Amino acid sequence: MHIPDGILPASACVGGYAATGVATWLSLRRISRRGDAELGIPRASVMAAVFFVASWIHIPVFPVSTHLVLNGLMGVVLGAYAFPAILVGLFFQAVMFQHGGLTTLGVNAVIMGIPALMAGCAFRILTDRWPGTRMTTVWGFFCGASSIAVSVLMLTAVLVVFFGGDIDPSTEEDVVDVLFLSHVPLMLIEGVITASMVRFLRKVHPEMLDGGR
Amino acid sequence: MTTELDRFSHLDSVIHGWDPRTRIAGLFVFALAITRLSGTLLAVALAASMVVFALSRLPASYLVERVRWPGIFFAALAVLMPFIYGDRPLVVVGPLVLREEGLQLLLTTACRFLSIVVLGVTAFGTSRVTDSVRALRSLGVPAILADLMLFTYRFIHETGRELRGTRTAVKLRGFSLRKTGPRALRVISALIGSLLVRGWERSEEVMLAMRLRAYSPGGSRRAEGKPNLADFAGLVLCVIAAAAAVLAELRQGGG
Repeated sequence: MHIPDGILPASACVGGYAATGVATWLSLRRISRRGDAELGIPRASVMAAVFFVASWIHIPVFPVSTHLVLNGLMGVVLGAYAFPAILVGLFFQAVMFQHGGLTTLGVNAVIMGIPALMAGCAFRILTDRWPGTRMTTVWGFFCGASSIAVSVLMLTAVLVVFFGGDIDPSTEEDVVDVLFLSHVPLMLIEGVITASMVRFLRKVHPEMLDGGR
Repeated sequence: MTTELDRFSHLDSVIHGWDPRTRIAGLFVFALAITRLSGTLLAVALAASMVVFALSRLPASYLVERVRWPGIFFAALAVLMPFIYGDRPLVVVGPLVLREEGLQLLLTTACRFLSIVVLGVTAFGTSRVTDSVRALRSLGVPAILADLMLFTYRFIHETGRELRGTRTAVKLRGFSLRKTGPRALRVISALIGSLLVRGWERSEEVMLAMRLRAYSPGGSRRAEGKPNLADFAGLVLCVIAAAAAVLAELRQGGG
């Protein structure tokens, strides 16, 4: 789901950085409003590190294997810190393993970070309205799976906008279908893992699900 | 998996001596310009990137191990792109049509990717991570984000060590993480859960320590001193090269 360097034209890279700049500024403004905002930094760093390290866990999905993204879980646990944490995680993935890229960092941060923020908001609204262990687990699944779905939709939109013109429309439809369907197993896996994480954290560290409130 | 980004930061070269602020800014501008190039200009830019890498005296193995991940992506792209992109057929084998534009796009993308990776590796592999983050802070990255980068880099190594230890423990209990199914997902969830909780508890301790030391945002300092004339000359050279390449590309009607 990470777009490497060299794929996107300069306009997309610059646009991605502009969008990331705005999203980071909004997140940091929200974080700064808290009295002890900077003390959330170690917490966000740990999550960014777990997000980074979780990508080393490969889960076989025939005929290939996939790695965890966990952006939904980041949104649920970190709230407004999720976007900067994802940005930093992606930066290190880009400079250490060229997983993603430096010029595409902005676009990748938007693709992963915006769904994380959405998942965080959705989780808080849903658990406020329908609390309880079972429902929280269901919302965990929903947020984990839907954040991947939104990321895939955004990725597809970016690729179609910048490559769509030169591909035969029927082939383009097939490619879009394949791209989306090939991510369905990851959506389910992320949903299951986020649900079990949420259930586990509710038992051992319920304050971790406050999303930085 | 090697996570030591700055393990060759001690080397002595022209690029290592280049101030990180002007180096990162200059090479990034040049990398951004490469996303606009094609054809001969791209080949020249790739050659220039290789020269910069050679000047850094970083070992080639350092570069090779960094292109392994995206290699998988490019393999998939190589299988797909020449057959679905463009109109002009080059070779027709049964239902498969190899298209000229697709093949051209694949080569262009691969060259752009390699050039940018080479520049990125050179920009961040030639100084300590703390110096690179300070340079980014000086270039306008917000204080909270810079602190987040420093903490994350530290936690990546600790979390990575914990993951390796837990993986070994899981293996010794006779379970392979290379499986799919409800039980495998339960084990992976437990593994991530333990990483999260341990990390969370560690972050609470760090927070307390920060409070005791009266931490304030922007603890990560900006880079010290001022870049000298040679550092600025390097930056100006990169910007001029990037602008000239993009203008030449625009004149050719490409990009």
